[in-house]
Amino acid sequence: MLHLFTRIFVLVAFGLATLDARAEVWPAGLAKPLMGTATPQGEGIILQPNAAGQVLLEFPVEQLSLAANPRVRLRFDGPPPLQVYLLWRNSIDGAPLHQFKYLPRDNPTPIIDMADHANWQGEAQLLQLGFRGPPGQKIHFIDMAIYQPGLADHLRDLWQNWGAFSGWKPADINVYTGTRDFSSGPFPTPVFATLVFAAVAVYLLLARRNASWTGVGLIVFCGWLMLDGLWQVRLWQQVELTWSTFSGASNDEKLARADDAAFSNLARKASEFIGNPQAQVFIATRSDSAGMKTAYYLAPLNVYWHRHGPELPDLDTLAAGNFILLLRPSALRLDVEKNLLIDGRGNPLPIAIRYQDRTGLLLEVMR
Amino acid sequence: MNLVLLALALAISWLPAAAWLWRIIPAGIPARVPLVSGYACLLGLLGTTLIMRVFSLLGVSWSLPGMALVSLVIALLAFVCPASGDGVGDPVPGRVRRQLSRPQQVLVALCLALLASRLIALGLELGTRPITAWDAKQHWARQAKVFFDLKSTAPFVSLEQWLALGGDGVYTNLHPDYPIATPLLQAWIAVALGYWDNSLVNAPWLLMWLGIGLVFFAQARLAGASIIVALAACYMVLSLPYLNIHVALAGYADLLLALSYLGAVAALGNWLQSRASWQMILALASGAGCLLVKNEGFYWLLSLGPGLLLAVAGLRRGLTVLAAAALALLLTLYWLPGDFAIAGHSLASMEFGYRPESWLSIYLSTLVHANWHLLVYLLLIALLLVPMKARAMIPLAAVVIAAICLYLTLYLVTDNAHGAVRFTSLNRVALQLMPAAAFFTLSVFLIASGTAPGEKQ
Repeated sequence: MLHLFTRIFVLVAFGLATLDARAEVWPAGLAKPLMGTATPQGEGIILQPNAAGQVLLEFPVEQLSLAANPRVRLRFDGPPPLQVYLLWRNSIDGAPLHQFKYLPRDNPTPIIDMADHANWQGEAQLLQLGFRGPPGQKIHFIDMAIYQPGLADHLRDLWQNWGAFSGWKPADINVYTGTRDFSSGPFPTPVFATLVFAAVAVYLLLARRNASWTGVGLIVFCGWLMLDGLWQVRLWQQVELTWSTFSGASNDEKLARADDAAFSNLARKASEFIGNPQAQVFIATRSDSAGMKTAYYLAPLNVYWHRHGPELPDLDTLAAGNFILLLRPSALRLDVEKNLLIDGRGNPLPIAIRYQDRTGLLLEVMR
Repeated sequence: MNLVLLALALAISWLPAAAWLWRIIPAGIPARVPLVSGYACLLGLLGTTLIMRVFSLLGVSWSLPGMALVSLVIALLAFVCPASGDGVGDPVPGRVRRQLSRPQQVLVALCLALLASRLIALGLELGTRPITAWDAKQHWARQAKVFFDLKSTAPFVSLEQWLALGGDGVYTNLHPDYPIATPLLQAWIAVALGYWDNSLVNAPWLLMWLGIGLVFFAQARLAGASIIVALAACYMVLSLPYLNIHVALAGYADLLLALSYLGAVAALGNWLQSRASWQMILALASGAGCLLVKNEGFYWLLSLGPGLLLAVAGLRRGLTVLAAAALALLLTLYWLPGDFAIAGHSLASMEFGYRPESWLSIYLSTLVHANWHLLVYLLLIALLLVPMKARAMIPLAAVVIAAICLYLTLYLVTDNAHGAVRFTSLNRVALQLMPAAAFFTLSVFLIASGTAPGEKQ
């Protein structure tokens, strides 16, 4: 059975490798430079931006159907430009010059997917490529290809979608999709489930009476392993990021390096000014996030924070010696000259500013 | 030094439970060591929180030496108790211990390597990153910091009560009625370290992950799984991405509740097959532990009822009684006043009403997103197999189905539907059930494949 699976795997892999899309390719030599200079070198051309950091190339086009060819692949030898602009005119709306900006980052062979662009329709009547880079940058441009993506391209997209990594986001504690974005499928789980069940079906058909639960179990386990491989890699990438951010840091330094640093710092300073561990502290802000973080970092002080409620309770309930930590954004108004905090109904509260920084202000109630 | 103190704190939690379990769980059963270790993780952590509460009631401040002394006394008391003689031996009669073949050895090595890799990754992430996730800061750890500062529990009241009392002697947060086991665990680690460490206070979450693995592995062996099958299944459970996320972004209560519920369901499942009294003790202790962790633990404890009923009364009579009980419950809920509270929530606040918009979220979370790998697919197949190939699992299936029904009711019929539509609480509540559901799934496949006790080999 292992021999059979190996044969099938090799056939599929070979088939996939040959199923690349047919592309229309424009070597760099065909491009006419309209901005910047171009010097042939090797397989491509060396482009030098003008004083404004711009390069503009125009390509000859003939009967190029845009909608049928939504992928644009660029090839550079060396670092790509900071920004790439795709400019075109189509046969449907004629006159307007459409533009699409793309950031290749460090990718020397960026692929731009124009499938969702409303104006990538009809036939191309004009096709230009613009680059923007820092002054003095030399861009070694090889060629541009425009094509209809094939199976290999879709598989490559799939791999990039499933293998994409970004550090922890707040929503990650609630859901893990296994993809780059929340809504961007296809998702790996149903794909692997289908493959596993198909493999089990094939096994049962081939093995018939010789089929065993062990065989089925092995197939399921292998499918699970492969699916888990994606998660395992992502987890280790996260560990690497966490390690590079926080390792070697002391307990307080970790907070300084975290995303909450501004709030933990404010809370620490506020706690120092407050001094009294029995003091009551009211957190006033319209920001859910700011309120939550500050309430946490102020603990173990006795903190009042009303999530989704009024920023402060009735001002009559506040007594001398209470503290208010006022965070942006807030609907409360501070009259610095008169040392008054004024609520939404215009009621004033006498206060004194004890500490302030860019994140918030610590006020003491003075009655 | 910190790591030594941390290890000591976890050992102080683990030791007394392990000592008592060693006396209760009979010698000679397969996987006795992982069974004792796994349940000691669960019952030890919960027991620690109970000891801390007693200290607070008596007005004694928490300290490492104080907790260590009590832990030692409780452990020593275990040896006064006579050891259990209720040994049942190997649950698979006639199972011969064979040496593993080369492919089997490779599989075992692979599973162990993968588990080790996961443990290291999660340990590094948890130990390096300061508390990050929302509710961990908003509720649990914030409360824990107060407890640690006072070296005692403190009363938390509603915002209105806090204002009425002027904040004098009371604290407030958004859920003052939530059980306090989770913040007590964080406070305990801080007490042991002598300071609030923004990362290490979450160390118990790594122990919970280990506990899930040990309980699952051991109970799977007792259900009749071979070492390889139990280990492979254990790896599958411990590799669930969403479960891993709750270790990496530690500080939520859901993982501890997942361990409690797994402990209860797995023990109940094996009790249903073996009728070993010590398994019932484990089931009841773990089930009761659910109440200490989160309010929904009450519902998960209730879900054990249908399984027990079917086991005691038999299938036909049991189903009749269950149907009558369900009808009685619905009528009771209908007639009860709106301010009647169940598990911390009044009936009026639940705003009963069908909310079909939750179905899409439930479908996406269980079968499309990568939270659970292939587990829910396997669970559905297991549920279908029960009446055809694993009728002995009907009582345990009743437990799982009851839990699933409660879960669906929560998101389809109550105001909690917003937690489904926005994907905020949907998976967190599902996490509480998944390890137990995985154990059920494995048990069904063991019986269907004929490798479980009582089936033809």
